[in-house]
Amino acid sequence: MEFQIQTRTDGPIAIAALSGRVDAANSRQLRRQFERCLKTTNRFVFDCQALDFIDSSGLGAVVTCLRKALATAGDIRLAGVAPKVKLVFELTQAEKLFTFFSDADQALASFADQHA
Amino acid sequence: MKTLLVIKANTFDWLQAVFPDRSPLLASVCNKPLLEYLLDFAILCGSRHFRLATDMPLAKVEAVFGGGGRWGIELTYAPIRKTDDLATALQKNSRYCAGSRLLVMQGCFFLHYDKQKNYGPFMQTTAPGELLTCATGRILIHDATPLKTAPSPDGSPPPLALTSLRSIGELYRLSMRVLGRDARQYVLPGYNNETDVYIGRNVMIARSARIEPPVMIGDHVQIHKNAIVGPGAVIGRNVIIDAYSRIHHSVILDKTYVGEHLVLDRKLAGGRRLVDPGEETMVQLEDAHLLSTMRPSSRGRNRLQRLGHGLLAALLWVVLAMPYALLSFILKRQGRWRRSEAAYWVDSSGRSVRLTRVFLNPSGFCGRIAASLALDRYPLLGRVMRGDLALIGTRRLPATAANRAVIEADAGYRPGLFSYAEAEHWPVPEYDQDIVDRFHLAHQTLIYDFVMMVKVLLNKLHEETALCKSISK
Amino acid sequence: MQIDQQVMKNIFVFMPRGRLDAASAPLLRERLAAGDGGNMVLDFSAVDFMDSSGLGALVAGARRLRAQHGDIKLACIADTVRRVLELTRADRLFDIYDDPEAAISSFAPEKSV
Repeated sequence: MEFQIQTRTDGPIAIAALSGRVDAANSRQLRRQFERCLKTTNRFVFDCQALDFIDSSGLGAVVTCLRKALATAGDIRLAGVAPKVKLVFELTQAEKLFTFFSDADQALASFADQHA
Repeated sequence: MKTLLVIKANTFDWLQAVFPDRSPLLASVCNKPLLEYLLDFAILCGSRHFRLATDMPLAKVEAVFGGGGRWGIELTYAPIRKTDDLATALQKNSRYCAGSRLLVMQGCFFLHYDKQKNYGPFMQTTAPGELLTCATGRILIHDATPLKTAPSPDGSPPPLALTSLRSIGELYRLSMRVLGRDARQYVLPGYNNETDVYIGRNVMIARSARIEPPVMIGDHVQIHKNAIVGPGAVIGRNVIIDAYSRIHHSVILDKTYVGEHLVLDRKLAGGRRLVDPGEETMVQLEDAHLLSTMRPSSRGRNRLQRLGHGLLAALLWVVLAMPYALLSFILKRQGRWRRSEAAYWVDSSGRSVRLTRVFLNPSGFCGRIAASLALDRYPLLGRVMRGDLALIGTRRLPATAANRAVIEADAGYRPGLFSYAEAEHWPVPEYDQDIVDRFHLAHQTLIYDFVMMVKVLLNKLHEETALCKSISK
Repeated sequence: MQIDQQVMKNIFVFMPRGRLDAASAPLLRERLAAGDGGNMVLDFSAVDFMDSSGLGALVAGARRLRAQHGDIKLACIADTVRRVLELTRADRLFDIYDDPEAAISSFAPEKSV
C-alpha cells in the first residue's frame, strides 16, 4: 500500500492505494502508515481498485483508521471498491461507516464540495 | 405411468462453480431438494415408479431418498455417461421404459405446479411429445404403444410451468418467490402452525431472538440471542445464527455458521461463501468467526484412526531403523539412492506439505532387500506419526492446481505412505489404481487398514522374489 | 462361479453367476482375454456381489479389449454392484443398460466378432 499526499487549495488530502489483500499480514502496516500521514492531513481517500480481498483484521484496521480521522474532524472516503469486497463491508455492517465512490477522482472531488 | 428423470452434471456447472462441495442433486429451494419437488409432482400425476438417470455421483442422493419408501413409490437409479443424449439414456433404461406411458423430465429446472390439483387425467390423455420446455430443460411424454383413440383432454389443463435454473441468482429468486408467494402450492418441510412460518425439528430459538414471517427454518438450527430472522429468510439444516445477527430476504444453506453482529440482506450464504444474487458476485471468507462451514463430527473416529496409524508407523520406525541406517548408507555409496523433495496435498482443505521422495534402484543384493522392506518410504514414517499422512490410503497427489480440483470434486482423498492398490497383485496404471484406492477407502476401518498393510508388505516381499526369479531366468 | 456364454448377433454375451471376487476374478479375466478384440456384453443379472478383485478383472479386461478396438458393455447390474462401480468412479468407463438386448443392439452393426 502506498500513501501519497496530494496538495490541494483547501489543504492536503492523502491517497492510499490498497492493492491485493489487506489482512492479518499487513493490516498493522496499514495503520502505521496511516498514522504517519495523519500528522500532515486528516482527509484520506483509500483507492481500492486493485483490492482483491479484505478480511476481518483488514476491516478492523480500516475502521480504526476511520475513527482516528473522525476524531480530528477528518474523513476516509473509499473509492473503486469491488463488489466482492463490498460484500464483506455489508456483512459486517462496516459499509454504514463509509461513503463509497466509483473512483479516486470522485472521492477527491467530494472533499472539495464540502468546503464550497 | 412411470417417470424417468435424466439429469447431467453439466447443467449444474453454475452451482458447482460456486459451491463445489455440495451435491447438485440435493440443491434445494426452500429446504426441499429440487428432486423432491419432481417426485411429488410425479406422484400427483399418478406415477408410482420413478427412475433417476444421471452421470453424477448417486451416493448422497441414495442416502437421502433411498428406494422411495417414504413416498410409497419405487425409486431406482441408473448411471449414464457424460456424453449420453436423451435417446441413449432411454435405450439404457429400455426395460424400465417399456410397456407404459412415460413421463420424461430432462435437464435442470424448477417445476411450478399445485399440490391441490389433480394432474393424473391430464397426463393420461395429453398427446405424447414435448409438454413444456425452458432454456435448461423440458418435460415430455413418451408412449410405449400408441394410444388407440385420439386423446381429448377434458377441461383446461391444470397449472404447470417450467423455470430454468442457470445461476445462483435464479435459485435465490425462486426460493424467495416460493417462500413469499407460492408456499401453499407445495408440500414444504417443517411444522407450519402459523402461516408463512415453517420450523423444523430440534430448533433452538433464544427468547430475545425475533422471527418475522415469512420464514423457513430447517432441522437442527440454533438462533442465538437478539438475532432477527426474517422476513424472507430461508435457513437450511444444521445452521447456527449467532447473537445480534440479522437475516433478511436471504438464504442460508445447510451446515453454515453465521457469526455475531452480522447482517445478511438479500444474500445467499453457504459455508464460507457469501453470494450477492443480484450482482452475481461471490466472496469466500477466511474468518471462521464470520462465516464458516459446520463440519460433521466424525472427528473422533478420525483421531482414533490417526492414532492407530501413528502407532503402527512408530513400530515400523523402530523395527526398520537398523536396516534403514545400514542399507541407505550402502546404497548411497553405490549410487542407488537419491533423495528429492516435492510438495503434496495432504487433505481436501488445501494444505500441502513437502515430502521427501527417495528413488531407490532395486538392483543388487542390498537394493532388493531395501525395496522389499519398502525402505524408500522410511523417511516419511515421521509424517505418519505426526498425522499428516495415513500409513495406508490413496495415492499421494503432488500439489498442483489440477490435482486440487480433482480432490475437491472427489472428497475421497486420504494420502497414505502406501496406497491400497499396492496390496493387489494386478498391474495398475494410474487410473486403475485410483479405482482400487477409492474402493478400499470406502470400506476402511482401522483393522482393515492393518490387514491391508500386512498384505502390502507381503506383496512387496513377493514382488522382489518374483523379480529376482524373472531376472535370473 | 460359472460363466454362461452365448453369441447373439455376432457379439459374445457372458453371464457370470454368483460372486465376482478374488476366487472368480481369474476366470472372468480369462474369458475377457479370450475375446480377442471383439465386442462383448456382460449380463450381470445373476451377480449379487463384486469386490475390488472382480472390479479389477473387469476394468483391466475392458482396457485390454478396447486397446484391441473391441468394446464391452454391461447390463442388468444389481444395486450392490452399481454402488461399487459408482464409489470407485468405474461407472464412467462403461455403458450400462438395464436390458441385455438393448446393450447388444447398441453396438454399431459393422463392429462385431
